[in-house]
Amino acid sequence: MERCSLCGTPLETEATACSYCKHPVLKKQRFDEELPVSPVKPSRHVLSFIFIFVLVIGSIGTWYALTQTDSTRTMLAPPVQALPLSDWSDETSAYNQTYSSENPPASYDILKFVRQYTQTVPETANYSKATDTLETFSAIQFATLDAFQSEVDALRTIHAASDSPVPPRLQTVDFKRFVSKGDSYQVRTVETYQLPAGQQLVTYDVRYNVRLHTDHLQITHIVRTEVPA
Amino acid sequence: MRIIVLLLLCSLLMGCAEEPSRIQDELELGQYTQAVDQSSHQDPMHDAAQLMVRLETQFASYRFEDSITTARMIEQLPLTQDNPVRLRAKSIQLSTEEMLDRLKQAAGTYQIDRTLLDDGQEEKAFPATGQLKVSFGKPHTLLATIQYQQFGTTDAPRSVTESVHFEPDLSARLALSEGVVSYVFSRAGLTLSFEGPGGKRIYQLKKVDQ
Repeated sequence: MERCSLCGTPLETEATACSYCKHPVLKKQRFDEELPVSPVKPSRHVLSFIFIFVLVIGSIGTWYALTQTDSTRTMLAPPVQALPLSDWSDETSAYNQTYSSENPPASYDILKFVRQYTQTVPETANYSKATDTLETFSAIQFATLDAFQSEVDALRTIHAASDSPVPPRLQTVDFKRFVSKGDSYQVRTVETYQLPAGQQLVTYDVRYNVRLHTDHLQITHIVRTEVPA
Repeated sequence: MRIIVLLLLCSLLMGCAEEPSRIQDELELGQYTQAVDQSSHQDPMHDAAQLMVRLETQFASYRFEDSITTARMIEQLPLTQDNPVRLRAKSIQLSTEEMLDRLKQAAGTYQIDRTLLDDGQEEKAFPATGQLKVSFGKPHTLLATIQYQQFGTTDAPRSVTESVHFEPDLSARLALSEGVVSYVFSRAGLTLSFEGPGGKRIYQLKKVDQ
């Protein structure tokens, strides 16, 4: 409905002046006659609204995304540095590390754990059921009782040499295969130990199963096979 | 129409709060084996995780030259500059390069600079003779071969070759029949000490200029 341009009073269809303020409407009528404006459909209003909305949100989104990447880039700007030695060597002991769901073990922690376990192997070979207390052997801090006992049985060659005044020593640990199966880890290594007699070497192919036992790592299963020289 | 507008707004908001995948979390936490286990071969991050496992196993085996090769392969992957996998691989590469430099400096022939005998009561120099030749192996870079060339006290010099596994801090401690021998590389050279029932004999060795 047409309204008076001065006071807003609704106008009759054929009215030439406002019924309230007497403001003439002749001019408008003439304009309307010359240029008939088709009424805008409401759906077109909605469509143009959606178009503008998408445009505005899109440009805000693009602007936000651009500022975000820029800011993260500046945050990560410090150059990459070499790792501290204590992070990757055996300077810190791996068996008393604790983990949680917020601080889970990284894959390198598992490798470090197994590598430090291998250092206890020459000592394990000395174990005698008759005379020794299990708790004094450091391997027990890494593995379950079953795994420890299977090691004692598997280390016969080193055990035979351990009567010598010079103890056997670890020479190399080569990690061959390392996978996760659900929440357990499987590590395969090739380990070489040096026996005192004539610097003879003994090599083992070993498969470890490692698990997160409540909050710490534990070796649950070991299969040690001697590799013939 | 209002419903359409509302749906549009919701979908836009959902797009903004994109939830990072579990694999992404694992990669950020360095759990590369889990990331391999839980991703398929088609997953774009699968190869990166697989290579990280290879890199870490080589690095943990102290196979430094192999580690550098794998780290370079990771660098070639189409990963963003700030990708945690890329950053970790780069740090490992820098650590191994640093280590190889130190090993290069440590390898060589050493001669006796000073000697010290500590028998628990007094410390004094003792006459000694000979040279030591140190070289590091491949692929196990920290496995050194030490050749004693008429080395030791003047009355009983030794000429043997020993295979010694060093720790990354370039020190080694080996048990002997009656005591311990330890090797420590430092900027000044190599300190070799024999600890036994007769006290502690320390040889301070200096690299021979070549």
